[in-house]
Amino acid sequence: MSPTLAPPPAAKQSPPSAEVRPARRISSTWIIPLVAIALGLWLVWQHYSDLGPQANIRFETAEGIEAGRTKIRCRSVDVGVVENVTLSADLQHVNVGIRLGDENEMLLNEDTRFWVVRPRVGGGAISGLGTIISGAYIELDPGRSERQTRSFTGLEDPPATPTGVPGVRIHLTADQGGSLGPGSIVRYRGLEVGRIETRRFDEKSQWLVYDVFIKSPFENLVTSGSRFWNDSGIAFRAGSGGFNFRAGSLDSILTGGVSFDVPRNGTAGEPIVDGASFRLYDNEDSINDVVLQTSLTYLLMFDASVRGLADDAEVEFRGIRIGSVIGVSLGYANQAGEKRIPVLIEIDPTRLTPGENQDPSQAAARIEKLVREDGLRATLRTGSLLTGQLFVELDFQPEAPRASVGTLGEYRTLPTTSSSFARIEDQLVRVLTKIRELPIEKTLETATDALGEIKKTAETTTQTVEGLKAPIANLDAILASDDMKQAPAELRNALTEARTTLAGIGPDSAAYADLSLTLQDLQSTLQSIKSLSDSIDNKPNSLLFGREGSGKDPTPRAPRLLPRR
Amino acid sequence: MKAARAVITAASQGLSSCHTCGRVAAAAGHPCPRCGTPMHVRKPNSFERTVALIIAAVALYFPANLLPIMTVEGIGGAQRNTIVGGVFAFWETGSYPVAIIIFTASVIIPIVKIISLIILCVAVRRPTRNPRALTVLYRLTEIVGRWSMVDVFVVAILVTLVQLGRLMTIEPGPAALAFAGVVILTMLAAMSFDPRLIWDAHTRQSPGHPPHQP
Repeated sequence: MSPTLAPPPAAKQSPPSAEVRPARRISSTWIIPLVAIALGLWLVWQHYSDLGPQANIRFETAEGIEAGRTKIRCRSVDVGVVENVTLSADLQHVNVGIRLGDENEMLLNEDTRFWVVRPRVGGGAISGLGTIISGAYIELDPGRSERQTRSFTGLEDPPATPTGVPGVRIHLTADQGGSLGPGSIVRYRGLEVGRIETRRFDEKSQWLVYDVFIKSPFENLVTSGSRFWNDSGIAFRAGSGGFNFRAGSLDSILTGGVSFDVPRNGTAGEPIVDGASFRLYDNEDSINDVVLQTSLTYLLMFDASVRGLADDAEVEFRGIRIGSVIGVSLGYANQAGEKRIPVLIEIDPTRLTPGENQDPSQAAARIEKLVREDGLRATLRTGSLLTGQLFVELDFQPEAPRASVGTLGEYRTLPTTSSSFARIEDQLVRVLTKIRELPIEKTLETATDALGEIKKTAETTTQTVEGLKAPIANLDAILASDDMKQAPAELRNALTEARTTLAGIGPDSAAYADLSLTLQDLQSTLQSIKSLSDSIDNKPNSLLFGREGSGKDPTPRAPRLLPRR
Repeated sequence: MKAARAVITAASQGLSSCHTCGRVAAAAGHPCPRCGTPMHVRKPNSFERTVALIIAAVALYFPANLLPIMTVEGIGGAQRNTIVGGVFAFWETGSYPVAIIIFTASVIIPIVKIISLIILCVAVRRPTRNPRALTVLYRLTEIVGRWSMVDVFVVAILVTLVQLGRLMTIEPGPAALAFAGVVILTMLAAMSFDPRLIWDAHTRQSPGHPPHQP
């Protein structure tokens, strides 16, 4: 053994008895790595347990989305973050992987919608200005479905209305797009009650379909009788009623808008349910025009030109609109040799026969009766001389030749008469024809002959007058004779004598006085005869039996018909 | 080697120095005559403790690097950075010196420390031919160890300084705790490692100089 440098005395004398302890097999030091492992595991576990569910959203573009930075927000509350952004396998979309907080699992259900909030200008508003500084974020609109899903398709445009807002969704169909789009305001008498959410094109029906959300409590304003029209922009219309200019409010000109109301001659009808569909009319006029409760289509065959007859032109009955022209096309009457112009119209038969039984199934029969018995005829008329627009008028023309409702192809036809213009033309032509057919030359010849005769007559007259000259000269001679000059004096003498004669029988003469007395006697005699005739009249038997109560004055009697007292 | 052979070690004389006050006294197992600290010829359980601490450090090394060390919440949204992610972020923004410093202090040094401690632990268990190089490695490990706390300090300073409310806020992540654990554990492992074991292993290998046999 090696020598010790300074052996302790105690060890030298008596080595201390070593306290022998069994070596611990495992040192307490090993607690440290155990704790470290536990700590590490706990850290990792805590980190990953904080992570909530993952989901995948498909977007058209990842503009503004950054992995690890872009947040998912629900009503401005951070609920998650974008984890990764990758292109889809077909390179057509972007797959955005998101991770929500662990308490947000219920947000990922089938109805949940996602869209990217970016600065946007349009739809009448500027939105998302805050994202200019903070960057875009993904808005989560939680749905109410019970079914969970992890795969979503993000909306490219934010929905106009978040889920859960009470109200109804309806669809509007239109054949023209116009300026309406998502965000356009829906108004009822100028009050904003909803908005257009989406616009899509239905390929099958070739209609544009607008999804509209009507906020509560305004959903009761929409009824089955409501009519929607495009209220946007400026409407300028030249129809048979003249020119019509209409402009909406300024913001509806800029952003477009829809209004609805119950038409003047319509009824409100029933309340609607979610998902009801309405036709979107082009303007406010058309909703009042085209409210046909029941409609029948008829084909009219016109001889005259239909230039100026527009689609949707009026069909009137004595000035009251009862329908409209659907179209003018030769195709409606696909028949060889047909030279008339077919015009398809749609009329409301109830307007023609107000007050009668309005059973729709009998409408066609009623029209047929009107045509057959009352002479209902269709005529093209000029509505406005300025614009040259035509319209169709139905009226009763009892003097028209008898006709009835016919069929042509798949359509019923109504008999037509030519228009007033055409009739004037017709009459003018007839007059002209008559004038042309007049025997003017012959007349002129006759007249020339007559004039010759007149001339001859005149000459004869002159000769006659010449012949009269001599007798007139004789007459003059007679008048100038002395006998004629003495005649007035003799006449005066005769008159003087006549006056003398009349003076003999004048009022101052004796003869006159005699005559007057004689006449007085005659008058009294006649009076007594009259009283005699009266008594005989009253009592005819007095001729035989004498006057009753002779010596007394006769008493007047009351008429027999009066009751005696 | 020749010089080593000539050296008479304290252990071979049955002497040891006190861990606390450094007094050289005979025999292990007794308290130090001056300060009363129990005396040992070599640090007790040095190898075992070192190995345990290294294992603990390795266990914490993974969460320290996989989890975010800090969360930067700013206007642009929250951003969680791991250590390596932060290094890449600095590198991409062109701050190459900062990136290199952080990479060195936070990634390389802990790995190097752990690996060198493992090498040392392996080396003392088998005969070694190059005890001097091992000793240099040990010294380097001890010196360099404290610098790996740089990342922890960076996080600590940033968290306290950058509290600008809505504009920007930095919060420590779970990795900060784990990383601090790694640094401290490697330092403790380096401390608990007794470099004299290297020489014990060396003398044990030499036939003329059998190792200390108490």
